[in-house]
Amino acid sequence: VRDRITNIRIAMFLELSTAVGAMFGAAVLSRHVNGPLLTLLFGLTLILSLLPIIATLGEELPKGVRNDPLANYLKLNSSYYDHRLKRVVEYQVTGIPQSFAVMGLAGVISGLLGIGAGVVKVLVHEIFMKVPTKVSSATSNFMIGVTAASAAGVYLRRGQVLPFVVVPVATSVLLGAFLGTRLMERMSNSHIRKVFAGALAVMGLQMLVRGIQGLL
Amino acid sequence: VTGSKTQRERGDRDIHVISSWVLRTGVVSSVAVMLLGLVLAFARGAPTVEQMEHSGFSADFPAIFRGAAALEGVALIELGILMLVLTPVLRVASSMVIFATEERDWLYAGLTAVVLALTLVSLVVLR
Repeated sequence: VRDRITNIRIAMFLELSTAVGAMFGAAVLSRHVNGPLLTLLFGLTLILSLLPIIATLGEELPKGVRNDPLANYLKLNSSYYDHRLKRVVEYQVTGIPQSFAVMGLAGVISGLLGIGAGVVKVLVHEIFMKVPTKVSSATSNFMIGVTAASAAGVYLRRGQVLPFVVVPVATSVLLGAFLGTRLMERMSNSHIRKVFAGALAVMGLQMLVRGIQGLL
Repeated sequence: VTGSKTQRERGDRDIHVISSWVLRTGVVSSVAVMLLGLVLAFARGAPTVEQMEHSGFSADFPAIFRGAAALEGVALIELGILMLVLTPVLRVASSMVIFATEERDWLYAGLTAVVLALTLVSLVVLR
C-alpha cells in the first residue's frame, strides 16, 4: 500500500451504497428470495460481464476517459506509482451515478449470498468508472473487508460460523494475500486483467451450475 | 471550508500508512491468536470431526473474553475471529479521524462517519 494504489475516496463513497445494499440483502431480502434462482442470475451476470473485460483485455491503461464533474467534486481523480511502468500514472474517474447504483446492487448480492462482492466491485470500477486495473483491485480489497464486516454480525449471531473451519481458511487467505499483493505490484495491468477474466469465467460457470442444480 | 491541497496530500499519505499498518497488524495478530487457539484446543485432546462440524461461533462476548483469558482453545479462536472482523472497521475509523483532523475535509469525514455507523449498526443489531 506504500505506493498508494488504493483510492480511499472511491472506496468510502461507494461503500455508502454497498453497505446499505448489504444490510438490506442480509436482514430483509434473505428471508424472501429464492436462493438457486439468484445464484443462477448472478452466474449469468458474471459471464455477461466478461464481454467488456475481454474487449479491453490487451489494454494496459484505460484510454479516453472523460472527466466526470461529480468526480471532480468528490475528488476521486488521483494517481499512483506503477512499479511495472516505472512512472506515476494519473487517472480520471467517470460514470459515478451508474457506479453508485450498481454498487448498491452488488451490496444486496453480497448480503444475500455472502460471496462474490469483490468480483462485482472490480467490475464496477473497471466497466463504469474506468480506473486502471491495479487501482480497481486494490480499492475493492479495501471495500470487501468493510462489507464483510457488516455481513459478519448476522452470521456470527446465527451461529453459522464454524471456528475450526475459519482457522485454516484465514491462514491460507492471509498467505495468499501477501503473495498476491507483491505479485500485483510487479505485474502489468493487462496481465492482471487476464487473470481476472479467468477467475470471472470460473466463478460464473460455477454459480450457473450450482443455480441449475438447485432449481432441478 | 476544506483544507489546502498540501494538507490533503499529507492526510492521504497518513491514511494510507495508518490503514495499511492497521490491516497488517490486525490480520497477522488475529491469525496468530487463532493458531494459538487451535494448538491449545488440540493439546487438550483432539476434538472429533463431529464436534468441529457442530460447534458454531457463540456470540457471547463476555464468555469469549473469559475463555480467552483462561487460554481455552475455542475461545481464543473466537477472539481471533472478532479481531479479524473488527480490523476493517478500525481502518474506516482511523481514516475518518484523519479526514477530520488533518485534512479538515468535512465531506469525507462525514461520509466516512456514515459508513462507520452503518457498519457498526449492522454488526451489532442485524440478525
